[in-house]
Amino acid sequence: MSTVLWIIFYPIIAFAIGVILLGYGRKFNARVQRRYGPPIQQVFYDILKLMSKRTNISHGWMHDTALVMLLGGTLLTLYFIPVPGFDFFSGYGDFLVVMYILLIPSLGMALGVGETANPNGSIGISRALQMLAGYDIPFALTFIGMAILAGTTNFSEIIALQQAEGIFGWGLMTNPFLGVAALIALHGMMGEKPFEVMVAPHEIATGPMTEMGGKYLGMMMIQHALNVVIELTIYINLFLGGAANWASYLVKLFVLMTLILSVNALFGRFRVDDAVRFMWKVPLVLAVIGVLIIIL
Amino acid sequence: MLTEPVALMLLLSVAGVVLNIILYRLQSLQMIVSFLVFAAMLALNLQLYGTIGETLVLPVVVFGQAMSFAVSPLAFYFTLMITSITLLTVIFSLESLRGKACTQAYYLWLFLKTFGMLGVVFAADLLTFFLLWELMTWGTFFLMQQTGGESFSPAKKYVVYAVSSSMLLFLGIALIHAWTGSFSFREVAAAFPHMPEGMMLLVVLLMTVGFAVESAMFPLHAWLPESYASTFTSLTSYLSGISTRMGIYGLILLLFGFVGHELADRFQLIGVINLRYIVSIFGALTIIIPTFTALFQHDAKRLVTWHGIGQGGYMILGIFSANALGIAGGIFHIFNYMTYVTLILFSIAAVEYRTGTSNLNKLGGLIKRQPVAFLGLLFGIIGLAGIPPMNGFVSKWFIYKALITEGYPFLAISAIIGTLGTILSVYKLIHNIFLGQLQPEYNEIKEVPFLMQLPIWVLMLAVFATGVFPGPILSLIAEIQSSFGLAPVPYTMTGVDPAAGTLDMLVITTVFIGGLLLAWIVFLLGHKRRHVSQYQNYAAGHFLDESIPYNFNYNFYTGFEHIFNPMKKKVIARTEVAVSSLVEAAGDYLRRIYTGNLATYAMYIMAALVVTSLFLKELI
Amino acid sequence: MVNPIMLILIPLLTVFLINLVNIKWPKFSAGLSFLAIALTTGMAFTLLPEVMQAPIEVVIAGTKAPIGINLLIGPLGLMLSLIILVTSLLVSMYSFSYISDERKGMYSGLFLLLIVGSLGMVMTGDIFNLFVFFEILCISSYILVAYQRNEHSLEASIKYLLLGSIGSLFLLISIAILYRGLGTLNIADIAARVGELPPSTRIAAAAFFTIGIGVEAAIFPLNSWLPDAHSSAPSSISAMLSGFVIEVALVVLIKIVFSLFAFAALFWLLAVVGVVSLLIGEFAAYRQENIKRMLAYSSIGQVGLILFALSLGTEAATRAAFLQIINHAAAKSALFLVSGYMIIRTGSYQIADYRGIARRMPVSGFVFFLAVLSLVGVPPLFGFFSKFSIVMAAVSSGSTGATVLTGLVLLGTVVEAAYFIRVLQHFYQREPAKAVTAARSERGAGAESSIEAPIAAMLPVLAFALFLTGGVLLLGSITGLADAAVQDLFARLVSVLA
Repeated sequence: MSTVLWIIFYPIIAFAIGVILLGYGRKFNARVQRRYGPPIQQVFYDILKLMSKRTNISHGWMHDTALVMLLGGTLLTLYFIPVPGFDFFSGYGDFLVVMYILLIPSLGMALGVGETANPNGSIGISRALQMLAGYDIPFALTFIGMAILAGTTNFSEIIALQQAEGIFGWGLMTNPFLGVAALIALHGMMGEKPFEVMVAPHEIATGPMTEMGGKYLGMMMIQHALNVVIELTIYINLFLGGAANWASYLVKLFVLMTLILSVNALFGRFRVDDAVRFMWKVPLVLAVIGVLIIIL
Repeated sequence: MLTEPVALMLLLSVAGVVLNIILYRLQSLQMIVSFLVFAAMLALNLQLYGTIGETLVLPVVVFGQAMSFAVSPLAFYFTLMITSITLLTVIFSLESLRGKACTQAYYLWLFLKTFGMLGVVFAADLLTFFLLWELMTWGTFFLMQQTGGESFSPAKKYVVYAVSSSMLLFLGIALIHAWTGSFSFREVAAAFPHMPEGMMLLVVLLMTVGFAVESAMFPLHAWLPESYASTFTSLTSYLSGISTRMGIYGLILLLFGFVGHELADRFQLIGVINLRYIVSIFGALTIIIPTFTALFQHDAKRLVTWHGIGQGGYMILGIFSANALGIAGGIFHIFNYMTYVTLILFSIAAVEYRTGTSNLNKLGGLIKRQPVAFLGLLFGIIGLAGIPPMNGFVSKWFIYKALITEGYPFLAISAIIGTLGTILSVYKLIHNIFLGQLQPEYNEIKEVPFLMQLPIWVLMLAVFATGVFPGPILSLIAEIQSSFGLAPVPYTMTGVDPAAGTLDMLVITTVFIGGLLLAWIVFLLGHKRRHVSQYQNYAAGHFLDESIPYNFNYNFYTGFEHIFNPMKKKVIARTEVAVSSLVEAAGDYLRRIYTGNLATYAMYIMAALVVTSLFLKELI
Repeated sequence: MVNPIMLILIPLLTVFLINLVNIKWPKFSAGLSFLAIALTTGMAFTLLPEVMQAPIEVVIAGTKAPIGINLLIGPLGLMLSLIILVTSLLVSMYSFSYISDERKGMYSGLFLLLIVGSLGMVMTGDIFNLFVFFEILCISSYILVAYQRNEHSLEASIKYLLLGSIGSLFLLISIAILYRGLGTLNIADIAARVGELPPSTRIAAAAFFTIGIGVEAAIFPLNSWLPDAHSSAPSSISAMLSGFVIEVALVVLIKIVFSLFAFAALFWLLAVVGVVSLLIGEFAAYRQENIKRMLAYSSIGQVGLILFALSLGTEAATRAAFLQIINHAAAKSALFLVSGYMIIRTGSYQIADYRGIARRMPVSGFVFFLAVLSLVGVPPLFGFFSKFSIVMAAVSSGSTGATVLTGLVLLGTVVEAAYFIRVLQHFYQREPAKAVTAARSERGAGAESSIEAPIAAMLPVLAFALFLTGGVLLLGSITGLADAAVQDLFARLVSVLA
């Protein structure tokens, strides 16, 4: 019964957390820049506003489908990542599955943006995909390392193994190289500065979002909120011992978010090739060292 | 005896060759006859399942060896792929090649090639195997140069590679025969472990390299992209889909049929590094390098053929992983690869059929004109990139999982790197053909005729269905594994046994569809959408019309070009040039022995006399 | 029963007849020679069952060996005779239309003499007779090479003549050494008593003999005359010279080595030289732009392969070599004959000028294609089986050296495939070369019409092609004959001297 309730309400909870995290992010950024910033719930208002716009421009059926694929794929991913009290689906698909279903929303968005026939959008996708290859390689390697260390690719089992030994059982502690590598990769995955080339409002008119408006943009923002939760939770599950209860889960989410926001506030934007080079130098080398430590 | 499905299938393919010679100038008759014969072959093939384990000995005795054929589970698996993909190719060609010039020999060589492949797969002795292997490689050669002109030079390159590979196999088979005194697979397998170590290593090396050429394993892959891409696109799909995989068939046969894992592990070098591991490393390189080469191609067909090389690496990694999951994944990937790559190439062919080009820099926006081809390509690339819920993901998952379980992190990461590179290049493929701005000159084109759509729909269904329900194919693979004495893969109808891993494609797909429905509801919550033309677009204040190209497809991954351009050393191309100029130089130099000067010639004779006398004197 | 001596006598007498007929009715000479060869071929076939039972010994002039002169026809001799006769029969048919000038009579006579020489060499049981037939063979081929009377053919002929004479001289020296030591010329007799000779004499005889006959057998480095001679002779003669003349010399060399000079070292030397010939031939052919030179170099390569197989000294390898001789005779003759009409039609020897020729000479193109694939060894053509058995036999002989040499042989095959495929692709190109577009046959007509060779020339070529494709079905009986020939050869081998 509780599983059914979770299945129904978890997306809403995750959406709420995501919206708050994003709102927190805007507030945090504003404060760093010595502004007052919007209220925390502003993101929610934005989404509401966009979803109720009367003008919705469509460039074709793939453009429409893309949004469905984007949000549908994100929901799919959401279910397969265990959170305290809800890991029903992690028995049907392990981390390898998550890693690839994470790509469905990106692919959906990429196809939709492609159909809008705006070069800014295509350039944005091109950059996004190059970044994907940039951060995903170190990230996948850290995961492979953790899987070999834990002897399983199943999320719940990895979490259980970490929690068995308290804070010193966390992935970040047992293998700091992998933990740090994954953290940097996570930063790229979140698309925060210095890795926000795909949006780059000043260069390519917000890239993929150029031709998006109304409910299209609204759905992208909903997805973004969920995606933030997904990405942070993956890291928490792999390296911060998962979370035994919701309190520690939320704390970990906010701490991690703050860390990422701080870095974001400090940097400008890398060029895409520099960003990829960085990803293939620092985190990848760290990950290789981490894996070598594990297998040798 | 001739009523057995095996005999009938071989007979039918020979009959196909003969009929096509008879009907040489009658194109439409050729088409119909070929279609009927291939359909009959597929029907026979399905009956074959009941005869697994039976053997057929033809009354043709060559060098004391009667040509013998056997229906093993592996043979059944491969023939099923061969006949079904050939039938689809023929159906597709019915329309796509109708009225085209230079197709008189098309079906002829298709039959010859199919005959070769079926024979290779059914062969139960090395002599039959080699004879038909040769026939098959020459069939490939003829198919490659169907379009004439520009396809000749890459086809010639293929011949050099293929003949070299055949010669290596030849020497290997001769050594096996010299040692075991038999050609029969069963006797060879029984005698193999008793070979002296050095001899065994030599044989295994010769045959591995021989098969590696045919399966286009790095660094012996360079013949493939050009030669496959320059023939008819329907043939590109046929060749990439199944022909290259015959090399993998050979490797499976060698590794599991003759050598066995225990022996393969016997050739230890340092620590964990043994022969199997070295092959796997080449497999990993086969994934990475060609996949990233594909990224920078400007021609759709060439891009896909480069991926064909890369995907072979996954099969090698799987098959050589010494893990039930991995081996199953490797073998399963052959099937999956065949379905999605033919799907991709059929879709590209559909576009080429209408636009006349496969140049990625000249197309764009065709989604509005050829939606079926778009869907086909979309399903295909999701399969190729290995994203759920398509079948490519399932087999790749098996391989990743096996490599992680066996503790090969770097092989596993190479597989993942390959997947990422694949995603990048397939997006470029679909974007540059179907997305972006529609070029004005393609404004009037239509979707392809039904007969060309049919194979696309069938393959889309196959790619999706075997992704969600991999069970039926996996059951066949489990039989293959048992027939080689390996542990069968613990499969369920929709994934793997929970004891062995966490994968249930049906649940994933259901949740995905649920998510899509939910997202669709969210989408419907907003107000109605309004369709606009591609020229009503944000252009920083400019007004767009047909005269303004507003598209991004040339040098799609600029950032990566910055990174990879310095790395493009073209080592292999340069090696090829070096080897061919070496042969030419050797030819020139050796030719100069014949100076044309009579005195020199007389000197040669004198010298030969002296050398012979001295040699005989010394040695006697 | 037919007296085997008729095999030599009929062509020889026909030569005289032709010379007489030629005075008054030159155009009948070709027909006469064809009839003579056909008759001889028929007779050779009737001999087959008997010879398979036991070798026939024919004593000439009433005195028995060792004093008398004799013919000794075993399965080996008969097999080679059949190769010679069948090839010549088809080539002489081709010559009807191919040799169309007024010197037909001379051509036919020399053609028959060439056959007489070859047949004599394989059938004789007497070493001096061997020399005589060898000379007949050589001299007729010197003249035939010069037949076209242009600068190239004359030069080639002179070279061939001078080098061939050195070879003959060496052969004669060898025979003299043997005769001086043993006082006999009968091969069987020498074989029985050769042990009496001091080793150094035997070595000298062996060396002179090998080199002497090696010139004609085109063993490297004694084959320097070959590319010139084979490429500047008329194509029909090239077909004969490449198709069987070198092979006959080669088999005779091996036969004598087997019976008189069975030194293990000599076998090894010949095997290595064979592989070297093969590689040099194939590599040199790779760079040829002249089609006939290319084919000539390819012959050097093929002869190297045959020599390699023959000198492995095992029964399986020898049988394989015989199969390869048959394959080469059919395939190379077909190639030369086809190229003959291509040269006539386009007026060029350059491969580059044959672009797209197969579309105007479809039958020729197709035969060329089959013959090439057979030479390279593509199943199910005959060449696959011969090459396959050579490699199998070489590797099963068990020695590392033989395996390494086999590897080199296979390398040669790769090069061979590369250059032949290049030619084939030229033939099948879509845009024809200028020479091809300009080519006209005697039937006239435009640039698109067929310029196929006349039917009389195509029939023998098709016969060769038919053999290469359908020969597999005869493989059983051919192997039977080859087996008997192998037994015949090995019966002469007493023991190999280490």
